[in-house]
Amino acid sequence: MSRDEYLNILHANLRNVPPQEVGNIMQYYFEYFEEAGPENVQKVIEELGPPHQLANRVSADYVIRGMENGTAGQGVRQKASNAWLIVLAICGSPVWLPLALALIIVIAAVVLSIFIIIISFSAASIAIMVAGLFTSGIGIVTVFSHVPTGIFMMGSGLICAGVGILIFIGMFQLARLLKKALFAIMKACVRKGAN
Amino acid sequence: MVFQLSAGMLDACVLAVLEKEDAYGYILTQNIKSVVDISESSLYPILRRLQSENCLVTYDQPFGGRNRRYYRITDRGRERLNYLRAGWQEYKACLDKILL
Repeated sequence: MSRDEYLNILHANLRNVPPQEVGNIMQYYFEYFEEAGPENVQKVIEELGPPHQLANRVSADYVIRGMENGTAGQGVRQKASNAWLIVLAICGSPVWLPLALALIIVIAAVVLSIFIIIISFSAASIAIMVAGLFTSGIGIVTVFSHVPTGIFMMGSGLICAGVGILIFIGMFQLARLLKKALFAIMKACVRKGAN
Repeated sequence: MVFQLSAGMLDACVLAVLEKEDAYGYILTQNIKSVVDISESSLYPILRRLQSENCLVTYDQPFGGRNRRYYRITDRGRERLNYLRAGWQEYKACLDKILL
């Protein structure tokens, strides 16, 4: 591969990098080749690694920094492509196969179980809420025939509904925590894989 | 090398080299490589990040018909370097307690 071929592939593979940054990146590596001298082109290519891999590595760094700076207001699609970029960066690093496979399987298993727990608890909490509201509703009617029972049913029904709401909110927070943890893990994978 | 450099340590190495004198990308890489085994592909992201954190600045200087982009450490960079140096001493001391 010639120097220009290398630089062209590098340039073409810089994804999700701000346009003004692309110039800086290309200048850096162009100068790098220049300083090494024409006799060292192959040595430099060997040291830098395959150009698409280098591109992934550099692109992923921008994505990670973007996440750290809290690029809120990004659309769902941008976040999804960020996630894919990180996966790509993991794939771009040298010993990716065993590392990524093992890690992905473990993480997926844990995430899936937590997710299932969240879903079942949410479903249960909705059921509890509904049952509670229903009971208090019946309680209101029962008040007209037997006051103490009616009041009791209203009270316990409302307590039930309250508990259900709390569980539901708790699950919601847990889901957000899960999402944050997932992104942190993916960032850690890229850092480890790239170093 | 038996052990891998962590990302923070690489920051420290870069800043330490620049503390001595300004350097351009290629020579900086060669200097660090002569001491520790690093992957060249990790250096540009580190330089870019340190720059965005105002730990260093860049300036261009023509050299023999081509351009060289130099990196220079800032005061904030010096602060960061001293912080990392202290962290390194602590880290070394703790490990020595167990290992030696």
